[in-house]
Amino acid sequence: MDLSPLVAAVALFAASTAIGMANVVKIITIYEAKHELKQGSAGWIRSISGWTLVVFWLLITWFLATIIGDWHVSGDLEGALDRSWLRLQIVLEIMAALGSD
Amino acid sequence: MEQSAVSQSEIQCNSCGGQCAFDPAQQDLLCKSCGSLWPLATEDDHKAAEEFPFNPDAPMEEFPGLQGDQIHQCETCGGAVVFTGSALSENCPYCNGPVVLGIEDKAYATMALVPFRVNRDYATHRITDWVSRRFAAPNDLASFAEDGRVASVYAPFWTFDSREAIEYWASYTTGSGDSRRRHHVSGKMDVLFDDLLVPASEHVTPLIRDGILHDFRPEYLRPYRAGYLAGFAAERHTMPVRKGLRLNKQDKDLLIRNKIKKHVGRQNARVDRYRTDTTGIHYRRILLPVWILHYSYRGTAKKVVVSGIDGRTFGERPFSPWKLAAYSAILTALTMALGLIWGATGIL
Repeated sequence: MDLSPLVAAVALFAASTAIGMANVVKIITIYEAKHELKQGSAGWIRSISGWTLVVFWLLITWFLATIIGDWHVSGDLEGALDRSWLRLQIVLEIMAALGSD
Repeated sequence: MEQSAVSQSEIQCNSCGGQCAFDPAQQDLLCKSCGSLWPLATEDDHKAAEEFPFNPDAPMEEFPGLQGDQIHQCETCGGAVVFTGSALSENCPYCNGPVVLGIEDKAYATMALVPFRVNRDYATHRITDWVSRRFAAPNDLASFAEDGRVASVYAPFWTFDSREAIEYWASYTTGSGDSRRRHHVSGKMDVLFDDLLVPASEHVTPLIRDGILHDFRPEYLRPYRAGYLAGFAAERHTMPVRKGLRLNKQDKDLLIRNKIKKHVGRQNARVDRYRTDTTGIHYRRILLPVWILHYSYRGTAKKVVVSGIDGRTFGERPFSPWKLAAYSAILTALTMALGLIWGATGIL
């Protein structure tokens, strides 16, 4: 049995968890801002800005996980990468839309 | 009234000659010796909400009206406060650093203040409650906060009114992929800012202001009177109005841009540029009551601030790295599970 997809999944989990810690701080900051800062105030606007980075983090994690899932089932990494192009386009499209927001 | 050289007789009990302090519950002066209450309200209290015009184009120099008063200067943060009556503390209410007696360099007369309505016990309760409701906070945060010191201070603020005639140029995108297009729009709008609160102290950040001062009500303003300050520290106004307007510039820019985006009415609208003609500037120099908890977490000084008007609380807090990692791991695991299933089933 090829353990490479499993190793890749563990590596992705570790990297995404480490990177995600800053995003969890952002999520909590946004939550606290929504509940405790005056709606529409300058501090509120500043605190809730930057939420797109949280979405980017989750989208990239999801996208890489789809490749690993495909790789695990098919046993063909190159094929999994080829099949991921459409998903990548969709992910980039979402990120571009969020980036211009 | 003359704000420098506050007369001790103003805060002395008429019955026993003892020292009085302002009582937030009664909104009167309370004698510490005999318990007598002395009312502070007058028929002219409503005049405290009066605003004053300011013309930024006039070649007017503003001269500080007060100087030479005895102040308590903080050796750590540089904050300078006055104590009405006997000195209450040897520590700075803003940073808990040691204070030394000094002579005030210059200050501007305060026009009005909102007296404390929240007492120490309620403020402490609010702080404990706020600290206990923090997500991903270290387990020992509550005990560190309990060891902190709660201080009260009247912090200086401005209120600003202005009318903005805005002309803007903005853009937004539609479509996706090759059909993505950027559209440019321009327009005009009027914005009225009413009682925009601006901290006139380096010790109160705009974020803390937005956390604790949600509903400023001018009818709570009272004329500046020694009795309201008795028992509390107060920071003087030391900046001219022009500086207040300058300090408010960034916040106002952000608020105007936000209003323009709403005016454009598109979710991804971007404000390319705008120009505004500001008229009708009116201001007040006021003091607002705050309770501040100073605590130190693993060598880092932090503060939690409670509004002395209604008890709203906001502040600085540390995060537990282990809890952050746990939350991050849960989100990562859920996202990865979705991705792995998606990839394995070959949906797309």
